[in-house]
Amino acid sequence: MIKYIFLPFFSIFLLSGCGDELSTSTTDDSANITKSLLTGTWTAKCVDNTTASTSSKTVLVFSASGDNLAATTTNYSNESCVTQSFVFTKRLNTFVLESSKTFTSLNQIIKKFTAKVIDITLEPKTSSVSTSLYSSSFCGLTGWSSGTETSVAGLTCGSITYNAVSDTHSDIIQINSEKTFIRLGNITNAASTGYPKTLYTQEYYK
Amino acid sequence: MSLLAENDNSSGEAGLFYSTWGSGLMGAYNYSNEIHFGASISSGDTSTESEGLGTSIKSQSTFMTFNAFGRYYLREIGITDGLFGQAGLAFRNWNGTGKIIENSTKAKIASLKMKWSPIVIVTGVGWQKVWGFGLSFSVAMNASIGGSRTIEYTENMHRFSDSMKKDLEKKTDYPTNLVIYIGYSF
Repeated sequence: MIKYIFLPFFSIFLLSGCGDELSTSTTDDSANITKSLLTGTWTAKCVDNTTASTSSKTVLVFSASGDNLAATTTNYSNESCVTQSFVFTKRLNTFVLESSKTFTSLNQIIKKFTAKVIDITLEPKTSSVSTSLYSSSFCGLTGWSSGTETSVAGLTCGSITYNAVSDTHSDIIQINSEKTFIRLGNITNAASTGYPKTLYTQEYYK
Repeated sequence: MSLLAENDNSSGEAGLFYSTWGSGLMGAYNYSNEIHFGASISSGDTSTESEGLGTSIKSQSTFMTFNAFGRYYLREIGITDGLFGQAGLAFRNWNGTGKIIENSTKAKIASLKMKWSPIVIVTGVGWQKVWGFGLSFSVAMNASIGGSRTIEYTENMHRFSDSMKKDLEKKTDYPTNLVIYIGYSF
């Protein structure tokens, strides 16, 4: 009789075999972003706009032990970042990094930071650019001169309204675990908190 | 000649098999017509490479298994001749790794390590056919019981989402083992 129940017994035993009991652990091995780590110059690669036959390159300079940040984007009238056209600079101070890491909606590990806007300037590098800005009263200004920085803080230039002086700049930052590059937030895609929801894909290398 | 072997007078058998847990060699000693004792050794590996949103996902797992088992054949029941139940212990060295790399920068986004417990109970049922000239063929479905596995997730630039973890844990679970064997009975 036992033989008759042998097979069903093993069948039940087989069905009860629910595999291996699973245990998991998660380690955060991402680099901890600190102001001392950021201090220095971080440079992005030249970005070509093949449609407009122009290019641009951005440099971030963290100074004063990471308290100050100057983001300078140099725009070029040709590809491969050869001939300068105009320079856009955003200067911040009172740089405050949140102590804890957080995540974007795409699960990117980031830190939030705030800084106070000191100035935002635009500097035409050629007379043709300054003439063009003058003739269009760009940002509502007519005093454009090549080689001279003009503040556009608090002004609306084209479709963009820039922060005013002393405004708070809210942003996010990511670093790779090898600490060789950083990324900043896409400030044109901000949440209701004021912080960007996503990161720019552009990397800045030290 | 009956399709199913109602009586197996051989003293043992050996052969090759392919299974979910890898392919290898299997041998058995026929203690009696109904009771056989056997062992198998197998190895296998899986390697996958896929593309995510700007990322490459690579994983590799290796499986080395030694299984010692006993089988009981239901010979006397006409409709179940050739069927067997088996139980035993598997000693295994199973490991797996995976990593997610960002395509544009080659930076490591996240990685994981998997490890399975070295000993597990394996039970199953199967069907065997032995032809008169010695050729032996069997199909069995086994399941592991009492084992464990650990997955260590390491996050470098991205967090593993819960859905990603669940999907990965499901894909790397191997609770059952389908074994297809062909050998010689002597």
